[in-house]
Amino acid sequence: MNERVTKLVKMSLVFHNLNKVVEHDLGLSLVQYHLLVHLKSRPGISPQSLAKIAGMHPSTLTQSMKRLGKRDFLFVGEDPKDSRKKMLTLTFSGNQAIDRFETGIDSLLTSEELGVSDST
Amino acid sequence: MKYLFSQAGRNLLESLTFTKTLYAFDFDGTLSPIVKNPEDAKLSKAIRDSLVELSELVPVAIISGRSIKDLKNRLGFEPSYLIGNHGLEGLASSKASIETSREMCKHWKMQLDERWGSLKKDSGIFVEDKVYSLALHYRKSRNKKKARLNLFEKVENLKTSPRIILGKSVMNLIPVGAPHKGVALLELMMLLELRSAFYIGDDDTDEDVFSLPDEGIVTVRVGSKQVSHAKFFVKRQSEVHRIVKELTRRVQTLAKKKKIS
Repeated sequence: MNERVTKLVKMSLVFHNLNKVVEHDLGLSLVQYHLLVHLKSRPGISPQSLAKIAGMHPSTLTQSMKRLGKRDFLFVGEDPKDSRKKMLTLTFSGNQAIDRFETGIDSLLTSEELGVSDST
Repeated sequence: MKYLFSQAGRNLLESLTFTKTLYAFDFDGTLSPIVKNPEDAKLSKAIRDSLVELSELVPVAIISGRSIKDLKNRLGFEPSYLIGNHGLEGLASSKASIETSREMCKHWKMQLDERWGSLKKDSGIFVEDKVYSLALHYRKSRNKKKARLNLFEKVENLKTSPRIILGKSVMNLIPVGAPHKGVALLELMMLLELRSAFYIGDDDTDEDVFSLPDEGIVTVRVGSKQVSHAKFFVKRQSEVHRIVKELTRRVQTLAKKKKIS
């Protein structure tokens, strides 16, 4: 197999496992945290704008939004100016989830279990 | 336009408190009820107390058509930012245009005084000289429609046409190109490096804020209106106090939680 492809697959697996552990221990995956933080600083943003800011494809965002909505971390409402559009807001539980994540992420990333440190 | 105290509106109000937000309020018809004589407008003790509490926690701005001097006397407390004359007073950027505005208003005033003639019969019409803008009031006129038409006639022939913004029984004459309430809010947001703001107003002059194409500004109109650009509305002025109280409560709760953790 191409050596570069092998390296990329290995990296992808490291991120996959990292996401799993982080989501299990802190309640949010890295991408979910990334989305919620952007949403926190822009109350009432549209999904299109959030996708652009977060650097995600809108269809990928829809899936994440559904998962976060089910857990009551964000609220999807109708845009007051245009009923065809949606408006996103962070909920109280969503804000708490961000706080939990931020409190625990550093110690988790440096833990032996993950083996991810600044030098990695 | 949606009711602010709907599920979506309440959620948005709550989410504003999670991030650094500027809370801005119009004065007449918003913080203070509309009164027959503009000189009688004042802030109730209840709303003043709530605003003082809120301004101790977050940046609060009052953006009004009144002059800053006039506003200071009526507020009875000092908010973080005070913007007068529809954005002409209180901003760093307006310093350049303020002298031109003063000169222009002086000329308009002189021209109106010369042409006032027929309007003298209507004791309900009067000019309020706010130095950098003029307000032609006709609230006390017996025939408001006729008074407005008469005022339009006088104003349309002014040398150096003003920007006319109609309010509730008032015609505001503002120098063309001068900053407006929308510019004022954006400048304050830039100054504070904020992406998020809340603004509530009741009048056509507030449409300069309501129509800003910025998703980060939550706009609320006092009274629902089909053609307004505001995102939300409250039914009446008395609900403004409820907003201030709710915002204060939410910000306080969050601050307490952060202190504990």
